[in-house]
Amino acid sequence: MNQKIYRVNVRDRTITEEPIPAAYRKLGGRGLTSALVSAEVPPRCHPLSSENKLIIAPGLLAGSLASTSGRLSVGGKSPLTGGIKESNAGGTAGQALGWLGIAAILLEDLPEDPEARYVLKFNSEGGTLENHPELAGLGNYATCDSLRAIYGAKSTSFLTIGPVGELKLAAASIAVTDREGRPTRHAGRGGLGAVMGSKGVKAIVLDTAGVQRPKGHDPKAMQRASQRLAKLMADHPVSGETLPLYGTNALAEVINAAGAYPTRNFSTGTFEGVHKISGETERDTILARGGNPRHGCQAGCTIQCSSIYPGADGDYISKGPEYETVWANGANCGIDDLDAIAQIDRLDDDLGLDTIEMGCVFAVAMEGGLLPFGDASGVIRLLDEEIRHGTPLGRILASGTETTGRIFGVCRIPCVKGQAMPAYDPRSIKGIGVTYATSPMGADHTAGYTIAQNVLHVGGQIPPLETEGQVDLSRELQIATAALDSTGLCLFVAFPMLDGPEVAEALMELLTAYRGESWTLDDYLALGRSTLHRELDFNRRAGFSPVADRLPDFMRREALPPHDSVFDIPDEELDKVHETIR
Amino acid sequence: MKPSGEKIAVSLNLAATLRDYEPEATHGMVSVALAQENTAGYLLDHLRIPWRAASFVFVDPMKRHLDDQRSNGARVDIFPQIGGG
Ligand code: SF4
Repeated sequence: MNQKIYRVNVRDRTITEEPIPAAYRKLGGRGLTSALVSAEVPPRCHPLSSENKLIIAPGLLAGSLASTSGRLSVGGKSPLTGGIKESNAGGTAGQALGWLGIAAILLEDLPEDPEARYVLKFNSEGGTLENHPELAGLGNYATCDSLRAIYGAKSTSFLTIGPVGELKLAAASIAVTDREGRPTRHAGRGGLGAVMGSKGVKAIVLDTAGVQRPKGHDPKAMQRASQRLAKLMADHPVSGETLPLYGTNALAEVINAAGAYPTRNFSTGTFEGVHKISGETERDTILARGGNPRHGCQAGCTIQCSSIYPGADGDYISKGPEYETVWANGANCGIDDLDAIAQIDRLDDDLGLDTIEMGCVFAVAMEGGLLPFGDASGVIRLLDEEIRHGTPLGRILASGTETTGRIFGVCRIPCVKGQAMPAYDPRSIKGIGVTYATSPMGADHTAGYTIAQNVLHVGGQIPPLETEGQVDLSRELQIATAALDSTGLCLFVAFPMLDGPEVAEALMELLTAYRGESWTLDDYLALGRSTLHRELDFNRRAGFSPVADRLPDFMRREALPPHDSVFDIPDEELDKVHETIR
Repeated sequence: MKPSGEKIAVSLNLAATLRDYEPEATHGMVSVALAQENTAGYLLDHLRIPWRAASFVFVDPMKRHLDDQRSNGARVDIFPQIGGG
């Protein structure tokens, strides 16, 4: 069971092992990172200063048999938003931490030597910190190749940063290796790769050789509950059919048909090229080229929403780009070329960039005249030449959408708290606008995914263009998501969970059987509330006021075709979202 | 809506999982000419798509219930239960 915390001081190069404090025993993932950030990081500190910490925590179910239970949370003060941040990723590292019994790793202070490139390694015997300056400037793919040469390929999982993280730029992600050892899963949002770069840590290696999977408190009950949960996921049309078949990009056609697919920097809600970049076309392309249309990013995942995308020559380009990536670098940039989007995805993964943020960066830069809309080769050149080599232009772009908009004189900047919006226009789907505005994370669709009720008719129906009911919907989802993000399960579990009580029951059985303490739905929702409370409180202490909980002004003034709608939920209503939680 | 007796045409876009019902409509729009009753429900029946398989019907591009009225020249998108993120 994951009960150890490691504190790594990068200045004096010490690693200290502590038992998890009793007050944190029922915390994992986002619940734990946010509790630690809230307790240990001064809210007004500079995110790249010695006072900030980078905190990595697997979920409560990490290391267990449960399907999709290996998501990993990364927390700290965000260089992009200036507020608290939790960003999570799939891949193999969450399970590896669970196997090693690690509840959290905290990177503290700043290195003495700014040229140091530390590799932090954990195995069954504890942790070591080695300097590998030869890794400086390498992309994530080359970094992983080098790490395999040093540490071996078997039983190892890597968390790495690319050159953008080393440059400490605000769109930097942290990569997590998939089952093939590729750096394709990213804690992308909020620039936490820059915080890792500020600590001088290029990579974290998790070696589980000789380690047994933790059995949990009650292995038999555990197995029963995890089988029950897997069956419930398999029986639901979303987690059992469309996600396995088409991946997340199944949504492109639907959101486009709903008039909410932001196109050319959020200037209209439908993209004429959607058929060329849809999940259906992506699957057909992958199949025609002999790629793998169904792939799990971690062992034991029964949904397997991912895929492997080859080029026309059959050679690997990237994992199948996900819905958000396809949209951000496709419709939002006026690009309808799936191969170009896969190349952009590969470059983002290699450089260590958030694909949502970067799609919005390029769309804003296109509006500002840096390159025309639709110029896929221009985007590829900017990534591979300007950003990879850290030129002044490259550094501007990799500092995020708001900075780029400012530099290029653009006033239509689709950000909240400095973080770029994902793939749903809040003027056509107003519930998600409430989440974008009020989540302590900045514009983040996963923080309270109202698309389920607003468009997909999962867990009820609230018409997307109406203002009524959206505030309560977003609040409930934000609480439930803060809890789910603490378990380490993929958010897709929420689809069957919203449609009936059985999934929540199975999850409580699972938590109880694995962790050995009793879990009820009330405990679970209390965890969501307390996590959200801590995050809101941190942001308040960092200087955020309700004015930060607003969408950009142009979304209230500029009507979005085809519905010609604006975001018109009053400010006073937005302020009610967290009234009872603050 | 009562049968009008007039023929109308709609542009139809079907999700790939429904492609067996009208293969041409899965990669872009095709026109389907209809007579009589101009409702989305009638369109589903015309294509022999079971109503339960059509979770989302978007008409121009507002989401409608299956018994909503359509108009001549409308664009209709039909999808099964879908999710993603
Ligand atoms: S559902 Fe997708 S993202 Fe989640 S664990 Fe499985 S493959 Fe990874």
